[in-house]
Amino acid sequence: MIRWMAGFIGRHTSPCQQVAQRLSDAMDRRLPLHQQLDLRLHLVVCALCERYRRHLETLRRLMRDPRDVGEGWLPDVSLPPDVRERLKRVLNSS
Amino acid sequence: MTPPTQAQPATLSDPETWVDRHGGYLFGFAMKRLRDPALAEELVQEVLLAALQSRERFQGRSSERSWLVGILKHKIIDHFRRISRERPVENIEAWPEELANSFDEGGHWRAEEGEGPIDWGERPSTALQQKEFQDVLGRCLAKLSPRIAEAFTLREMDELETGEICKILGVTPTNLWVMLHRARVQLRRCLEVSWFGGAEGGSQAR
Repeated sequence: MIRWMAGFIGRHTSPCQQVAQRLSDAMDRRLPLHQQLDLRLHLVVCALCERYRRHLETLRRLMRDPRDVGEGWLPDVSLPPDVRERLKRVLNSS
Repeated sequence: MTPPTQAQPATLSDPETWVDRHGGYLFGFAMKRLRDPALAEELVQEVLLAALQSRERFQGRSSERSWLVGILKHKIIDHFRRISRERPVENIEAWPEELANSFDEGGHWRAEEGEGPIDWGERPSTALQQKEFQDVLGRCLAKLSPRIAEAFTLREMDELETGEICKILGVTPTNLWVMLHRARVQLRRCLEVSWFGGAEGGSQAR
């Protein structure tokens, strides 16, 4: 019975490809009610889309690192010596 | 009784010390968003000169560093706005759909062919502390097409609302949603392949 219901919901909600776009949209704006409902029902029965949703949340958390830069992120955030010298020259000559 | 200190306005240090105090931070902040050392240097230089000229107007409501970062944020947004005017986003419908391979004709994940999202386990919780992960994330961002990377950067790093981003990049909301979706699709996939899906607990970047 449960499997039948899952199959029924899976067939009658949007396909995963469209769900992926909606999951992204939901991170940036409030979806219309019918889309929210469609999305929720789909996520109940579709483990892969639910996992995709969690991945998008993780991605957001990783991008919004509270430490921001300073210590995080790019390979080497310390100022290359030549850049340091050029910046100092510009600052001192103005 | 010690007097409350929070009301003390911040004061600026000698501009000659700015490069040593904040240069690395500002450069890193710009690199994270632009991934172009020459451009990052140019903008940091502009920031320092602008700060020098307007230092009389510094009111001490924020720290010296926040003040400089605020100027830099504006410079970066101006840069994005300028290049968007020079090369507007073209017909978005004609872009190849990167996600198409992940789905079958019915729009379902091709999980058997390894195209569906895999389990990332506990790795995301420790990822940020690892320098190698930062490198992978930077490389994955660099693979996005520039316009998409700009949209994603403004949205996820600077947390701007989509309305503001549309104005900066000169795109319609519908186009922006598609761009952000594509950024997420590609980044998620890239991180999965290069980090979270790695056999050695994700430590091997490919």
